[in-house]
Amino acid sequence: MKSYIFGKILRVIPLVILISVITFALLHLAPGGPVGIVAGNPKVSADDLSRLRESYGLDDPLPVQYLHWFKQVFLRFDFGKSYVNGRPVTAMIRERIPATLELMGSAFLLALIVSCVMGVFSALKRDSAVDHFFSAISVTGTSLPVFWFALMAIYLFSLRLGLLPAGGRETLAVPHSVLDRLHHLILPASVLSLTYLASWSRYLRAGLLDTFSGDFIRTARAKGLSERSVILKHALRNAVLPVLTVVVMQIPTLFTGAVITETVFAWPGMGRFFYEGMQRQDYSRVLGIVVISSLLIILFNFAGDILCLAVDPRIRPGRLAGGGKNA
Amino acid sequence: MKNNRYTLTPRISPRTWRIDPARVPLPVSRGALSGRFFEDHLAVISLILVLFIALISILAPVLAPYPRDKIDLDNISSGPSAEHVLGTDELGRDVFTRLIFGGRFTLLIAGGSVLVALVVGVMMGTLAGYFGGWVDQVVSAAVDVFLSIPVFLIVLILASLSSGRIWIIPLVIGGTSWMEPARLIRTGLLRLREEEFVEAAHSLGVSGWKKVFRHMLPPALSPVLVTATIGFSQAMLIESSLSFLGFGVQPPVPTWGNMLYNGQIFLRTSPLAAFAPGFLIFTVCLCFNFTGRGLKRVLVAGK
Repeated sequence: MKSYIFGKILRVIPLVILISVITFALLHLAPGGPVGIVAGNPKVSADDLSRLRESYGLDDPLPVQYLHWFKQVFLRFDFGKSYVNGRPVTAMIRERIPATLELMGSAFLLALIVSCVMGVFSALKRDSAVDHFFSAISVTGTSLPVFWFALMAIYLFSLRLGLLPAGGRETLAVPHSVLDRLHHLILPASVLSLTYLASWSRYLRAGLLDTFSGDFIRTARAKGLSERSVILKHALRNAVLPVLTVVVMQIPTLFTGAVITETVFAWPGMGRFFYEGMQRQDYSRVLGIVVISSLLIILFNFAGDILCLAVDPRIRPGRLAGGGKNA
Repeated sequence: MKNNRYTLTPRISPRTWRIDPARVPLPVSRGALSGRFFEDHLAVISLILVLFIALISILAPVLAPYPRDKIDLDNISSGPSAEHVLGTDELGRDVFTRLIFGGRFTLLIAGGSVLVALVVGVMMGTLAGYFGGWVDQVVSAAVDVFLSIPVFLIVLILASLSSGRIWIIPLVIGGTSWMEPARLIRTGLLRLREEEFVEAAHSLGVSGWKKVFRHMLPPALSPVLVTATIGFSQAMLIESSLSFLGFGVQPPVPTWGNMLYNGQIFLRTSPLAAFAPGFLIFTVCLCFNFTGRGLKRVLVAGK
């Protein structure tokens, strides 16, 4: 087990290096390279440009630049200064995180609760009208263009009915209040959660159906346990694990946010921060987000793997893939 | 998965890549399977609807009431009327006409993306599954990298660098979603290696590559067909998201995504211009998903 984890960690190192090369390449793929946006400005003379290039170290050979960049970004987590306003990218990111956590966290929570309910009912009443209905919801959820759904929700609830605000995180120029925040949160969080619960409820349903056919469930029933306790204590605990690892692997999006949803709802989070960076060609910001989010994905993929091993001894390395009927 | 979900492609985790092939059911042979597909009415209706929409898009120049970019200055952001069935957009262009033309680009780009993903995925999967050893290690490492980057963000960046060259977009979308087909081919080949008919072919002296292309690849391809069908809807969603955010296909070339981008600004005055393209994206995606589910029932589950 320990050597397995160690081997995993060793695998991460080349991964990080490859990703750093890709991000570095992206930086230099941009038209004009890192100073592209300044070069397009007619007020900037060739002299200024060459001084700027020198200050960024852009005249060094590429491998040297890469090493500098790697040291700065991956070892010191310093993503440089924004090309737009000259502020450190790290500080700007820090300001955006709370809003994103708020939106993504509530969407996750909502999706988790609803998908649990949907998954359990679907599995219990397999092939019933309820099951088909939930299945239809989930197919709809995976086919729905979020941007369109969000727009239609805004049109209906904000423009037509006037019930909910069309965007933003709070009403400006009004003293801060929790109710106002919640009021702004309802629409984007609901829209976002639909996309997650579509897949999660299916996972849970499949997991539950798989578990129901297990011998230990028959045993539990034969012991005379109530159906309620069979489902809640025995089946659900086993079926929830695969879903949990899926959820854990999606945690990095808590940080990166949802580019589309945040853009449509003018939510001041990371997703919109990224989008604005793209529009203004602020590559230090854009690549900073890409780097952080890659590192988080690696970390949580790793965590998901370990979680899986911790809760399901059957798949531990070194053990034969024997045991349960699914082996 | 997706998410627009912020990453739009169904994500396989690095763990699923290494699933024991013995646990993956063998694809069933094809005899009489088409009959079973037609029993699934929802899938059949979906398929017909998709073909219908595709046909209309192909015949766009014949069917469209106006030229693609024709501006009607008397009707700007107008509602439905006798002249303009679905009204006009903010420049006075006929929404119905642009929807039909938009379908061409939207479907073509999604199809191109799936094609790229399939070519790359089948190639990588075949290499990994057939050679095994260090080749498999290299392919696995590549898969690991692609599963460890925020794919949608990378796609956005690359698409923004395309600056109007439309053909780059399918390359970018397909180039970042080949992992699932590769996984399916790889496990399929590893599983089939143990099968008796492959051993029989081997003992008859069939050469390595011929063995793969004649005997192993065809049965391993059927789950890939399912992924490709569902992948089509994913590719469409990605392209639409890109165009919606303004980094995909640039106007005046219409796609359903960039029509929505314009539509959102005038949501209050002409809601139909925003509703219609999104509704088409939704419908076509739904159809592809239902078709994919029907195919899956026939090809993979075998029941």
